[in-house]
Parts: sequence; C-alpha cells; structure tokens
Amino acid sequence: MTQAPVLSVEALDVHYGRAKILHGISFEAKAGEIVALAGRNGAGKSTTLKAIMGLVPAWAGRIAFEGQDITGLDTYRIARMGVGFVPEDRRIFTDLTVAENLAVGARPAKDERKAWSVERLVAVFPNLGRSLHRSAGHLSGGEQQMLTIARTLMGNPRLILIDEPSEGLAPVIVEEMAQALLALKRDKLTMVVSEQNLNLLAAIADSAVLLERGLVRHVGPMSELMSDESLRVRYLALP
Amino acid sequence: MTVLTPDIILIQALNGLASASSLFLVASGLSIIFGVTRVVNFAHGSFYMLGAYLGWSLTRHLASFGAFGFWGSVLGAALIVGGIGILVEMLVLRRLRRAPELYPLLATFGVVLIVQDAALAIWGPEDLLGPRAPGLTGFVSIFASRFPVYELFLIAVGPLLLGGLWLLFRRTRFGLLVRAATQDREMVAALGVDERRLFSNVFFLGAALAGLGGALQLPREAVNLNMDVSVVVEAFVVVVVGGLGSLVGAYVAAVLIGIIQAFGILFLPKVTLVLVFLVMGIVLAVRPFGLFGRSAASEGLRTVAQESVLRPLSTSSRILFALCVLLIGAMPLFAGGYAMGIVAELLILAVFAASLHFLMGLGGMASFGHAAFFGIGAYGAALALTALQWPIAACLLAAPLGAGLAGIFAGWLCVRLSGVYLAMLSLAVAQIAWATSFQWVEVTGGDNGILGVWPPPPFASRSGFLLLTLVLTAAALASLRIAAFSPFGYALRAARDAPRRAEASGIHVRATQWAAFAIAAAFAGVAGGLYALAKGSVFPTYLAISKSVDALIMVLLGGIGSLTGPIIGAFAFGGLEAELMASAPFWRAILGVVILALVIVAPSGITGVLGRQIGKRQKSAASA
Repeated sequence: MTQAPVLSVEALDVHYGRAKILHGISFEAKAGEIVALAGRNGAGKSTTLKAIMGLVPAWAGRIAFEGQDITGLDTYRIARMGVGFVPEDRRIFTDLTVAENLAVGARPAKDERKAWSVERLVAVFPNLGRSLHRSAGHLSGGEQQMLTIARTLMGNPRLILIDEPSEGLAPVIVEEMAQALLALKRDKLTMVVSEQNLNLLAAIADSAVLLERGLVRHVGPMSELMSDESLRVRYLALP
Repeated sequence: MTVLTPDIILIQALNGLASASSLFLVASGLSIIFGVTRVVNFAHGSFYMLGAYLGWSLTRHLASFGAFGFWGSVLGAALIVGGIGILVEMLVLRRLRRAPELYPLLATFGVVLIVQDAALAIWGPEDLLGPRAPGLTGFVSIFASRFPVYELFLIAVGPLLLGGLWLLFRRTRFGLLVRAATQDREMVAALGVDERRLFSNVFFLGAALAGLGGALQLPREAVNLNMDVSVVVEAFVVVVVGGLGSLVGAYVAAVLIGIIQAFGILFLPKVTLVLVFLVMGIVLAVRPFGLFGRSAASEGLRTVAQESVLRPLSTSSRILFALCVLLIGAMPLFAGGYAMGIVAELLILAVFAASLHFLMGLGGMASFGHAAFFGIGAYGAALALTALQWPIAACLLAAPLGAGLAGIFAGWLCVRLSGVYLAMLSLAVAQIAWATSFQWVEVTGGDNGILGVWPPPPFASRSGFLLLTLVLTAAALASLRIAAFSPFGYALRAARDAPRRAEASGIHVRATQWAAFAIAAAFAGVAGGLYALAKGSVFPTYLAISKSVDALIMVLLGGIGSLTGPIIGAFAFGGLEAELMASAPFWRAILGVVILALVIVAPSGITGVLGRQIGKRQKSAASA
C-alpha cells in the first residue's frame, strides 16, 4: 500500500488583486523528503508557500496535508495540524527574548517522534543556546534565521515550508544551515525549501520543482537538475 | 492670581495623580487593543461610560450588601463591559480585519453613536449621582486642608494596575502572545495561535479596564452622557504622548496630563483645554513617536485600498456633471426656498468632503481634525462680516485665507508623522482650535457663537445664495479635480504610494504633503465660510470632533478611490442626516447603524459599488 504524500498541491491558482501569480501549480512532497522549490525572483516560490499556509487565499486547486484537504483553512489551523512555516524575511519577534520567541511557537507533538525542546534545539543550533535570554533583535542575521527555524520546530511540525533560508547569509553560515537542515531530515521531517542557492539545494534536496512565472516547468530528482545544464540555463539562468 | 502655598501644591498634585489613575485605566486598554489589533478604538470612551452607568445600576441593586455590594458592583460592571467589548469585536471588527485601518475606526465611531442613544434610552438624560465607596468615605488632613481618602485609593490604583499588567504580560502565555502579536500578528497565526480568540481576549481585557475606570469614578463625579467622548480624546492624548504600545509611557503621560490639568485649573482656567493639547503637540513635535514609543508602531493606517487608480472623467460623466450644474442653477425657477437651502448646504458639504479627500485619498494622510479648518473658515468669514464689516467678497476670501494659514501651521506639525500618529496629531490640533473657539469668548462669543452672519443682497435671498454657492463650489470642486491630475497631484499620489521611491525620483515628499495639507485646509475654509453664511451663525460645534467624523464618513460613504466619491458621499450623508435629524428620535443610533452597515457591507463606498456594477456589465457585454 502506498502512503499518501505528506503534502500534495494540485492545480493551485493564486491571484493578487487582478494579477494572476500562480497558474495551476502541482507537486508533491513524500514523507521524509526535502523538495526544492527553485526558480528566479518572481517565479512564484514564496506565493506557493504562503498559499499552502493559508496566508494568501487559493483561488482554485486543492492542497492536502497527509491526505486531508487544507485548502481555505485558517492559517492557525493549518499550523496546528502540523505544518510549520519559516518566512523569508525572518520576522522574529525582536521585542522578545530568544527563549520567549521559542515559547510563542511551542505546541505539543502529535506523533510518536520525540518532541522538540529548547535543549534539543540548542544542540542543533548551538549559537541560540548562548543567547537564550537576550533580546532577539540583537542576534546576527544568521542567528535570526536559525531562530525562525527553531521557533517553528517548537510547534513539532511534520512538514515545514522554508522560504529562502540562505538569503543574505555568508557562505559559512549557509554551510551551517545546510548541516542543520540535514539534521532535521535525519529526524524524518518533511521539508519544502524555496531557494535560489543551488549549492545549498544540491546538498540537501531529494527532488526539485522548477517554477517560472507561476508555472511548474519541470519536476524531477535533484540530481537530474544538477546534471542537466540546459535545464538550469533555461529556467534559472545558471550554468 | 492664586497664591501657591505648599499645601495647595501638594493637594493639586494629589488631585492630578488621582485623575491620572482613571485616565490610565482607559488609556492602557486603548493602547493594548491598538497594539494587537491595530484598531484605534473610538468606542473606548463608550466602554468607560457604560462602566459608570452599569456600576450605578448595580450599586443600587446591591446596596443592601454594603461594602461587598459596592465593590462587587464595580467589578461586575467591569466584567459586563468586557463582555460588551467581546461582542463589539466579534460582531463588527472581526468582519473588518482585511479592510484599511480607517474602516474599523469609523465602525467604532458608529458604536459610539449607538451606545450614546442606548444609554440615553436606558438611563435618561439626567446626571446620576453614585454612592460613596464604603470604607473610604473619610478625609485625611493635609496641612490645613482635608483630602478625600477615596482619592488616595485611586492614586494607588494606577501603579498597582501598571504592576499587574506588567506581570500579566511578562509572566503568562497570554501576555507573551499579546507581545508577539503586537509585533507581527500574521507570524503568530503561522505559529498556530488562534488570532480571533486572542483578539477577543484582548478586547475583553481592554474594555474591562475602561469599564473599571468608569465604575471607579462613581464616588467622584456624576455619571453623564458626555463622559464618553471627553475621556476617549484625553486617552488618545495619553496614549500618543506616552507612545503607542507602551504601558509605562501611558502611565507617565497620564500623570503628566493629570498634573497639567490640576494646576492649569488653578492658574489658567481659561486655557486648560488648550493646554493639554498644546503639550501633546509639543511632545510629538520633539518626539514624534511619543515619550516611550518606537517608530515601528506607526506603520499602517492605509487609507486607500490597492489598485484604485484615478481616471479622468469620461465624456458621458462630464455631460452628467454639466447637467447637474444646470439643473441646480435653474432651481430658482421651480424649487422652493427650503429645497434651495438644502441643496446649497449639500454643495458646501461636498467641498468640505472633497477637501478631506484631497488630503486623505490623494495624499494618504487621514486627518481626524479636518473640521478645524472648516470651522476656522466659518469664523473667519463671520468675523470679517460682523466685526470688521468687510464686503462679502473679502469675507469669502478671508475664510480660505484663515483656514489656509492655520493649515500651513498645522501641516508643518502633522506631515512630520504618518499613519495613526498623524491622525492623532491632527485631532489634537483641531481640539486646540475647538477649545480656543470655545474659551475665547471676547472674540468668538464662546458657546453662544456669532449670530446674524447673513450675506448682503443680492445673496440674501435663497436663490441668490444658491447661485453664489453653486458658482463657488463648482469652481472649488473643479480646481481640486484639476489639481489631482496636475504634476502636483501625481507627486502627491506617488508620495502616498511609495514615499522612498518618490523621494528618489526627485519629489520632496514632505514639502508636497505640507502643501497638500495647506491646500486641503484652504478648501475646507471655503466650505466653512459659505456654511456660516448659509446658517447665519457660527458655533464651536463647527470645529468639533463629530464634524471631522462627518467629513470622514462622507468621504468613505462616497468611496475613497474616486474623485466623484466625496461629492456623492456628501449628498448622500447630508441628505440622510437632514432627514434623520428632522424626524427620528434616536437619529444618532440610526446613523451609527448606517455607518456600521456601510463599512461592513460596502467598504468601497457608493462609487466602488457602482464601479463594480458597471465593470460587470461591460465585462458581460464584452464576452457576449
């Protein structure tokens, strides 16, 4: 018997006002898999993640999480079902301490996996442990990005959507990020990562979905994208 | 001149601190609600008033229980008002979550009107005297004076409550979520927090604090129907001076305002009203985000929904307008004096609304105090006519000139800020103007106003005045329209939509907005001057908050996304108000319901709804 995919997006349409942003997007994420959402600026990567999270309304199509239809649900319900969201512009609560940021995200686990705790998170993101009681606004860019991921993990999600995790980070920090995400993958967490940094994707992703101007242009294993230069040139303008 | 002796200083300071506590109760709730929901809750004063009335009723029913009855009534009133707060949130504000911030604000003003008439219907127009607080009825001797113990109790309430709220926000999960949501409520929802429940809880807390403040006033002052607006305006001042979202700031500001009032009454009884707003103006001019505020909280107050692009009038609309002008111009041939009087008034309101629309729709600056310039225009024309005996043309020039000058001064202060802060500062400026007109009896006649402001012939007749009004208002509306499509109008809209990019493309954003403020003020002055002549009198109410809100309603009723909107809104609102005030006993409540219906059902206004209908028809015609 085949298991239902953790996430399935079918023929998703999204409009902003009169402008149509997504034209019938479809893809899947299987359990424990990291799906790369690749594409240039404005391809619709962020909008896709926001639509899954219910932050922008889906005009047409169907989104299912573990087989259950979540299209049109309130954002907080989607989050409570087990979908985590890490926004692109970090959006940590700068007025709160690091520990308080984590506490906002805390929700009990709903499956047999070991629940996340502050101690476990500190093991994955050692920098956060050193500044738990400092104001989150004083963290460096990289630490803030780690905090957004850690904060989402506190809700014990089974799927997390990460938007542009490497944006604005130094290469050495991106490497740390990749290690952290791989650690999460070993914990059987399913992820959809929107990203422009191919090196990061190559290091972590199992499959890739190529977006261009709101359309899915290609779906396949990450290794295929890395070996097929013509694909990369055509849709990402990268050799 | 009062002699300052140590005991007078001490007693006035204590009086100031006692008032500060009740002010803080109201202001803290206002601040918490604004922080989380971004709703500027005009109805907060109504919660306060309801707390006082409900407390009064409860103490009468529970009088036989002694101390328990009194304190139980105070707490009970606070809890009931908290429940009313939840109702307002659930029934009204929840439906407006995605609307521009001005709509919830107007909706809460609708609630104010409904509560006013409800309180009038339930408790009657007479002031009601509450009981003394059992156990706190005595006095203590301070030097040679006696000071009520209850006031000392109130002084302690403020800091105690501040401490309690601090613990609530630092030590509980609810407080944690409130602080997080104050910063980024969408992110809080994405982390699995039910925003609606959080909002309801926040409204409960905020409303209950206001209700408690009202109920605690029972032993101090008579309960009356004017408590709501006066306290909410003071609470606005406190929140803005202290810094939006800062409870410590709210307490410090409440103490500051309380002390200023206590000593102001002693030394400058004639300008106490002005003094408070003057302090607010000074604080905001020096620290635009208040004493303890930070700039982040000032974002928001979108006035215009996205993608409302102005279009020049189509040929058919031009013909329609020309026909309207001709029809009104021909009214002396067929219409009666009453009808002509009404139409002249509606034309004047249209200019008033259009001038606010210029500021708000094109400039993105929502003014809560636009009536100030309307009123200054009215006083300008009236004084020129009666005191100075100027010819009528000079009087009609004095109106926009006076209002424009006031606009230059007010604009200089206001355009340094944006969003809610700008709105609040404009409110403060307007309140200064209102208080001046009210208290400067020698010139303005105070409450009695200026009477006998009738235009000389040939404009003394209804028909003559209608034609004068038609010519001037048509010219004013046309000029505003031309200005909107001039390079200045483009610059103004660019400054509204993308200030940084406008700045980068060579537009001096602040100067443009300042000029727009002065222009809008001058046009409001035109309307005010004509209004004085139409009514034959001028009163301080012309500058009152309710008049500013009238203008806001007219603009939103007509639809902010169109230049025709304010004109249609003025005719619809003016007509409705004339009809209601003449016939319905509870016209305020009806108006309140109309406002609620408007913002909930048709937030894009009349022109928005019409535009959609026309768009649909064109679409179906195109596809057929």
